[in-house]
Amino acid sequence: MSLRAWWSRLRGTMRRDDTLDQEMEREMAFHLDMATQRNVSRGMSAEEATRHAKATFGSADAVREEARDAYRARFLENVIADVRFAIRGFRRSPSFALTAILTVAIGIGASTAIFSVVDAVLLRPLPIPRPNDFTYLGWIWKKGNDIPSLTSLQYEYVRENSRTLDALTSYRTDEAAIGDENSTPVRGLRVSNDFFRALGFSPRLGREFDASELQPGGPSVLILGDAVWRTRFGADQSIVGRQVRLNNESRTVVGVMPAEFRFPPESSHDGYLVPFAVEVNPADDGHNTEALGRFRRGTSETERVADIQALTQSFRAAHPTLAEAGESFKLFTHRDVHAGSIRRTLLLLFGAVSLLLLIASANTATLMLVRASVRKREIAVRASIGAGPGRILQQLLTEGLVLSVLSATLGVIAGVLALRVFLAAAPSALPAGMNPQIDGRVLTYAIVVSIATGLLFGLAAAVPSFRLRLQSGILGSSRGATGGGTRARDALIFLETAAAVVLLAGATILITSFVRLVRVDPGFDTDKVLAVKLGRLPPGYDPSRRDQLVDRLLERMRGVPGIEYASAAPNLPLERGRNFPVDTRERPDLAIGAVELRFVSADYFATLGIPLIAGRDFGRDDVAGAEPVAIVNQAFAQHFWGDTTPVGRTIQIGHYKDRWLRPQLEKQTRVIGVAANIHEIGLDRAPRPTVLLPRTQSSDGTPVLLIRSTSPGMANVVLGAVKADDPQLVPTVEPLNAAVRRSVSAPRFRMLLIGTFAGSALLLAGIGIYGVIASVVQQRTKEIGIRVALGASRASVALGVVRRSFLVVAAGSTVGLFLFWTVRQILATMLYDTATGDPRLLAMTIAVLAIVATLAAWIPTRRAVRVDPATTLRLD
Amino acid sequence: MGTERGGEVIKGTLEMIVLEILQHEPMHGWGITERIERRSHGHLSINQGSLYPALYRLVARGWVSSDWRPSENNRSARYYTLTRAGRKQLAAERAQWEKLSLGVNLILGTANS
Repeated sequence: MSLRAWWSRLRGTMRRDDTLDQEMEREMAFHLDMATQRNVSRGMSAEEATRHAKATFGSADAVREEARDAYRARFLENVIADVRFAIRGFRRSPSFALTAILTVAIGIGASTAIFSVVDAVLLRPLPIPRPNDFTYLGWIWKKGNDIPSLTSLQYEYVRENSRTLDALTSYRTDEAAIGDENSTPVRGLRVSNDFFRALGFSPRLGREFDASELQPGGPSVLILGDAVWRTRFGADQSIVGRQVRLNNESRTVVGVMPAEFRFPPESSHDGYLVPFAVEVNPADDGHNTEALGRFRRGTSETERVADIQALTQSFRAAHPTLAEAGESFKLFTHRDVHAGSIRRTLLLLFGAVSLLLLIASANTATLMLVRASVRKREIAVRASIGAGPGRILQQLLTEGLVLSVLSATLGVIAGVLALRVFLAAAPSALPAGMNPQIDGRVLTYAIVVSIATGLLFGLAAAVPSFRLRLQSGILGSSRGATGGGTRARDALIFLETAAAVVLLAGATILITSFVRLVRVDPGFDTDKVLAVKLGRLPPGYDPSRRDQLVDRLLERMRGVPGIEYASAAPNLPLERGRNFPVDTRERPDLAIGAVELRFVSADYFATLGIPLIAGRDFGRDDVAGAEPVAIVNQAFAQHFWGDTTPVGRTIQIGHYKDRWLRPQLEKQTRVIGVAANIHEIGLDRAPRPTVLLPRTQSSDGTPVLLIRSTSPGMANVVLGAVKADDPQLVPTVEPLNAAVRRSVSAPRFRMLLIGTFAGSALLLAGIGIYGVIASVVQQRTKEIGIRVALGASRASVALGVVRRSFLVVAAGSTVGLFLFWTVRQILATMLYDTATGDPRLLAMTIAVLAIVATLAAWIPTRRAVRVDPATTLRLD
Repeated sequence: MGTERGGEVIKGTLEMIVLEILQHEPMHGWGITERIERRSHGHLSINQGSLYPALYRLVARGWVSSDWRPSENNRSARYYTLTRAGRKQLAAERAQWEKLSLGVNLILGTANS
């Protein structure tokens, strides 16, 4: 049917009744006039002529009624009839309908859930005002790698010299108990100058921080986040001006943020805001200052880029040692910064889930195809009583759409549940603030997908009827035993196998990689060690009081029965620490720009069970003023001195390009020991050159306490010991193995999801292949019967049937493997090691498919060859 | 054919006849009535009450389109035009009709074979 015909039909459906009636009225009047005229010309009187004309016309009302119906109802009527017919058909074969609907529902549900996440994280605009003017600033190093943050000096420089930036601000994330010190800590932000202007949010109550508050040592003030204001302070309108305790420090509330404020959007540190001043230290070339900017409204992309280039040149001119040729400022989008790591994971998941949907759809399409060839005769009958091919296609497509709409409805419900599970399973792997949800956009996706799959089903069902010589179907049953659609069926099985193999291959590789990852020996004990975080220290703890506190706590712990060792470290193993350039006076050419530097106390190695290969641990004599000492790991020793034992040699820390980054480090540091390598910054990272320094000589921030105990259940004892020292402290404690588990949560999450998808794919493909092949064989029962009757050996007949399906599956698997080979680069970046997956696992999954295919062919074939040929011949 | 007024059009064939009439030129409803009577030499008279619904059905199926134009006596009338789909349909129905009538005639023995 032509497009125009459809259009006019549709227009007829939607045309308003009164226009229709008016036209009809005019048309009938014209008809009656013409009839009257003719009657007059035949010699009737005018009166008689009119009456006669009306009489022959019949009841105008009835005509009008019927005509109206004819005009409007046709299209809708067909659709309704088709839908009814489809539903009736599904009711008659409920197992078919149920399988089809559930299969596709699973596919649509899973892909809808993943799409909602992809949409929220990768597609949706940033939830801040004028997101196009918002930018992150970072730096590109000579080697081409970049970082979305600046040194404090660069930050200061851009703030003062940019011509296109309206505001540049920085922040640090923070966490503290608000009000009651025992309440769960709330996540907040420390924000610097121009934060509100750069972000585009202003407090809904009260005011922003003023200049004096943003100075170091300024008044203690606080702005509350909307949620905290509502839940903890009952949305008190008069809160501004009141004193609120933040980790036992009293602060004046100066404002409340609006509910829309969420930053950073993915982790929502929006509980409270406190002022923070970026301390500019030209000697510190660590890129530790986040830089968020807002361009002046109306500046063009070209102007902005030109400004950044100009800034790079003038910065290099002003600080030649800090910006080598080839290094420059760089603009980052929000997604670059925050979705970078998850982006690939999401695309991978989306790809996987789309394959799953493809398999599910192919499955249902094959089912429709099988059903259609069974229904050949029904369709032939309908064709011969006047249904055109267009009409039959419309009916089959409607059937497909009814199926997919039912599936989509179930699927979206499943999607909502799947999304919950997904979010629950991915606490850290997903930017939570990006708030995936099933909304209009996601529903649109689901609808588009379901229409596409529905059309696929309908077309699949139509394949045999296109091939069919319509009249022959009505005459004999399909005596030509290999009916139409066999090739289409083979194609679908092929497609399904290929898609399933791609998924399975991917999953086996992820699983293998994950298993290897968790089997990695971190190099330290995790079972007996507790990690105690002290959180934000109450006010009044300057560095020396802080160090005294740490010493006191360690001393106290060591006295507790059941505690073997206690030590302090700047952060947990597997968490990234500080980096510093290190070299030796003899070999400055071997300098490493970024050596892991950890300030630890004595017993660190004993606490974590890290063997000391050579030399000694830090001792009581290694104090400030004495010779600076260090313990290095094997990787470090290997790098600088090869195999020779380095105890007694000296290294230079913080010496970089002929200058010292920190004056207090300006001394040769003596190596007093060598420790075994551990996976310092992650199980998936090879041990890196690491230098450990005694806290007693140079400490750095509030440390984590590491406690090695002989008995379990020490957590409360440890917490009690901390509280006993200073009740104002808010410590948290967790076993170290929890931290280790957390460090592999992202790969575990990926593996679980892809594994689930792959498992479902195997199951669906198995069901699909079985169903299709079995039905094909069943349809060929007669042919098989004939062959057997003609004297073919049963075995050879059976072999022929089985071979065909086996070949299709084998071809599908081969192509699937080939396809996988071409896309595995995407996976390679997420793997612990670049090795391909366990070939045994891969072979096993393919074997499963092959066995399913063979069984699917074998079982019905065996039945067919066993039956007495005379019986099968009589079968219809 | 025993009736006085000529044959009623067999149900279902009216549409085919209308398509046939429209094959030559676009025509309004009244003109179609006249032509059917003329071309069947008065053997067929159509129930005018069923002509219009039939026309609308044809339009709804996309076999015929309609528009308003001045008629031969300069009054505005709705003219029906055969579409390409309608032309195809006509051919199909004609073929079927020929088969059917041949079959019926053979059975009734009225044809000279």
